[in-house]
Amino acid sequence: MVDSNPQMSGDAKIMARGVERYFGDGKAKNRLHALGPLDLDIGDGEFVCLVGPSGCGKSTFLRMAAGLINPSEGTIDLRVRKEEQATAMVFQDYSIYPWKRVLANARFGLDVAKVPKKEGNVRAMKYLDKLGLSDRARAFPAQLSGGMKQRVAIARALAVEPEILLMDEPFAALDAQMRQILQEELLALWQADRRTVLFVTHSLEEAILLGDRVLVMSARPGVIIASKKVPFERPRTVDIRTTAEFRELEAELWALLRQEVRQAEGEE
Amino acid sequence: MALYEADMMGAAQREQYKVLRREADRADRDPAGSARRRRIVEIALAIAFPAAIFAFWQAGSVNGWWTRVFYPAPSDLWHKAFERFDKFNLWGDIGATAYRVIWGYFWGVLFGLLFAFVLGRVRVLRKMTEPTLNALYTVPKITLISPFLIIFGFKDKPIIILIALTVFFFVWVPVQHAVMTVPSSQREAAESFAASAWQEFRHVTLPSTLPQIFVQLRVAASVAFLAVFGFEAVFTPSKKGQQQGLGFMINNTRASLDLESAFAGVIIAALLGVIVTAVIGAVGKAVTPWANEETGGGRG
Repeated sequence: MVDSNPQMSGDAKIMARGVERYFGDGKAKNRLHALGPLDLDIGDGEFVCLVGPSGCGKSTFLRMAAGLINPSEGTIDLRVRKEEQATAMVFQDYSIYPWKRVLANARFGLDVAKVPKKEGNVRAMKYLDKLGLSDRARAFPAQLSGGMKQRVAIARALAVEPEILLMDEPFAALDAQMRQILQEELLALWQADRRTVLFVTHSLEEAILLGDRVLVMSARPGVIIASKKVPFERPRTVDIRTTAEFRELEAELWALLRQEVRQAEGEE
Repeated sequence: MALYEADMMGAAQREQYKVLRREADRADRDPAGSARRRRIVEIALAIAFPAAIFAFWQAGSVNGWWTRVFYPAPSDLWHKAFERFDKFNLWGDIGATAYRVIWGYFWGVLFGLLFAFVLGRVRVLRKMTEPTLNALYTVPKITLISPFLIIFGFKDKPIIILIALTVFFFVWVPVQHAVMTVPSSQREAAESFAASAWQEFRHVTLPSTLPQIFVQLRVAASVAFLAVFGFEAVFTPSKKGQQQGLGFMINNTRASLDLESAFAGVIIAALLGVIVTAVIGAVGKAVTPWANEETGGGRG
């Protein structure tokens, strides 16, 4: 099944065809079929959330899109204007550097791209500002709370103005309240500039709140078993959570996901 | 003409967007083959690198790129080593050095670990002994050779004690650090089950620090060799009127201008180092299967 966004088919931003990934040490008996086959189109400016049981390969797909690992089979094509830093990734465990100050962390991608420091500072500051961190620019990460660390990681990703933003369970390590705050902030940020986002999460609520579309993946080897357009208009606010429509969609997706989670658990 | 224009527009559009393709490379298509190839290449390189050094050295000595008398060819050393094995009882030298190094290493590691585990956990003892131990740490152990010889007698014992003392610090300092940085959540989990101090040591502290201990055991082994060769050069006890030891033998070549023996001794020292490191590495791998390669253990 090629899951394509109706408006975007043909010139999708991300186009995956027959993507599969195996893991192992090379020995046939240890070969693990982690993912696929997977066909997928993601439109330009679309916010797509990927949910699925643990080990279903959703993070693997993200890492392949980022170019951190390659597919074993098939191709993922990213249609981009410039190839350098076309994607930026936000990781679950922050992965900002303890030895760099907040500003230097946010500027990291720009430093790597050899943007002059002065310009880099301005651009990094712009995103720190948007995330309410401008007064902590001189602090070291150890002085920050988990929520602030993850804001720095988001600022670092956005500062390079990537065409595709990849987020791997970015709020999973945060407490429930901080997660809601950051969801709100991300919603506002994204609605302001609408870049393509691929967002991996365990939380159906998070997926429905943030996404234009929610893709549900099966237990390992992960394939897409459902693609649901989220019916809420943009710009949205977090208030949609309380609507009956929201809860119905969540229940519908959970019904799909539930047996996959059970199956994944049985394999552990 | 129109066709040409359309072509131009198409080109402009194509230029605007590039396609970044993620796909399998050769290694992804054939992971078993590429893992095998990588292992073969790694082993070949590990052999080829020293072989190339020796080949270059041999060629240079033979072809007179440098003075063969000062830089004897490996083949000269080979002959010399065999000659020494025959005539001068090189096995005796190796045995004497091995005896000192093994016992010195053993006692140094034993006390190093003991101090690390006790001082790492008992704050008051740590505060009490740390300044003194730090002062001793910086004392070059070779300066202690004369007093130790006088106190313990002109035998192997003072040499073994000095090696132990040298090794001790290389084990104690980093392992104590590892003991102190065991994540408190791991300790608290044990404490929440009312584990005794011994149980906490056996189930948490020891396994948690074991990977670091094996890294340090390797460092300490090379330090022990460094120490024994240095001490033997300064003093080597004699048994039945004969002084024996690789360090002594190498040092002695000065008098007879016997360069080949000196180099032969160095190469034997290097080989012993390779063997010891391999043994410690293998043991470390076997006892820390959970640790990854970088920390010294694991199945890689």
